[in-house]
Amino acid sequence: MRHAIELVVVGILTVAVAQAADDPAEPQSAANSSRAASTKTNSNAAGADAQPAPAVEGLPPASGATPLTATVVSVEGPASYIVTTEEAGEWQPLKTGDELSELTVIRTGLGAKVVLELSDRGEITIRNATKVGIASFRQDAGRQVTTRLGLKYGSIHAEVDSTQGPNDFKVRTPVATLSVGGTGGGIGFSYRGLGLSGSHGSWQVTTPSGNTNVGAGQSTDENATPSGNLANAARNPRMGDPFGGLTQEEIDNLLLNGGGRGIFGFVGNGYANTMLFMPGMYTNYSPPSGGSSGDNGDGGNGGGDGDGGDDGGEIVNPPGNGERVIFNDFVSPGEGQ
Amino acid sequence: MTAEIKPADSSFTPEWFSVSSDTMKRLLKTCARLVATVGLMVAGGCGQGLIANDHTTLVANEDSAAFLDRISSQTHVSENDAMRGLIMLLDGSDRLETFRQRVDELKSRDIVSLNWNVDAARPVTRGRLAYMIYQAARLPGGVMLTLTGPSERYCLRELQYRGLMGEGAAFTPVTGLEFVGVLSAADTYMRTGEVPDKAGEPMN
Repeated sequence: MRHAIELVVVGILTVAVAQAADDPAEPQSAANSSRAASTKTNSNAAGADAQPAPAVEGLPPASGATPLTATVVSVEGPASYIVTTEEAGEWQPLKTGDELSELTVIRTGLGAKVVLELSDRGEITIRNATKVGIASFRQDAGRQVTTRLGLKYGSIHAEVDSTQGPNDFKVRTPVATLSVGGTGGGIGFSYRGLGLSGSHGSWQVTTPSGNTNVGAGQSTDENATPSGNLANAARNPRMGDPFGGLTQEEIDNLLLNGGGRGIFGFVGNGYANTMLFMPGMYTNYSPPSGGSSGDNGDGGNGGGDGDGGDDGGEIVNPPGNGERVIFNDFVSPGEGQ
Repeated sequence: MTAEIKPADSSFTPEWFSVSSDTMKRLLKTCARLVATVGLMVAGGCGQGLIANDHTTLVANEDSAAFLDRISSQTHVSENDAMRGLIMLLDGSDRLETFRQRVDELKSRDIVSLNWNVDAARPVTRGRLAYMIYQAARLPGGVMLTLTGPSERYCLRELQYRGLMGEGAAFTPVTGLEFVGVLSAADTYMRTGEVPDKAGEPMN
């Protein structure tokens, strides 16, 4: 009798453990409908419905994570957005009050500015001529909000607020990943490369060239150049550049076809003291594949020119486990795949 | 003994100086043609550049956000697209239909030089873009620009000095991403008077 009771108790405990370990992911059809509906729901999901997050295509099931939506606070000038999860997605004009879910891409035109409120965790200002996507924006059971943005080109200013709870905030560009705990700063990516300017708090920048931390009033670029070096370069007058501002391709052309003239440069920037330069000496940036016409490097400074690649948007740092890099899959309507 | 002085033979001419009348006539005809050609060019306006592919059209009803998105992924920017970008920079939108209309519009505003030969399908060069941006933004120039007026070379130098354009020679084509970046920086400068840094923040 005693053994029978023990067996029953063990069986009950076993069933309870098995139920607790069940996968909370909902069927795909339910996930689609909930994702479509989330574009219009209230963004303030913090502390509200604690429903487990539906499975999102490309992401593993997030147990206890609640997808959030970003609210459009203001729109100036031409701005539009597209929800990449919709099969027949089209670019829609962006309006104040719109709720933007994950996997939404926003683009702005000349003279435009868009301000997004990230629930209670901060604010993003999207400047003119910018294309940025919300790859992930969700809150887990422990109130940590995970935000992943992808900056294709242009610049944004991020103010991340961690007073309401912890944040895992990252911005990916074609050349670097920037992460922050609770801080603010400007991030830009263009043909000239990456620029990060910290306004307060601290940023961590991960690039192929290395990592660096950027504090308030400091800046860095795609080569993780220390802020002091960038400041020195900016202070010294740019009377000229080695090779007269030529790109690496032009230098090579001069070497091959110009009677060797590509060898000689002239003293002009804050670093150079010698009169003889070798090609490639100051070229420290190569554009990602696809930017065949991009310029390479500049006169010895940390910044560099480069085409950010084609619409595929090569991301240097591979995505972490379960993270979706939005621009690798995103294709504008009409361009085809 | 007297020196015998004989008058020069009037028929004598050095061999190297002898020019036949036919050759002289041909030479005079050539000179006359040359003078006439130059005269016609001056009279007809030798400064008026040629416009190739003038009826080329672009995507209709394209706002600047869509335009920049389309351009950003291109390896080169055609002169037609470049002029659309300049018109959007100045007016916010481009309602013109053909390349010729854009050229005429920008020429009337001194954005495009009257001497340029333009081609809608040809990639725009860095120098040409710099010239147009310099004119559109009404940038104050340095000594050379003041003395000689705007030129592709020195407009490029001026924009590079101000941080509006990156490094590179004037004759190289502009990539799509570079065009977006330059237009964005010019747009910010024209609205705020400040050139943004690489992070998009105003440069101190």
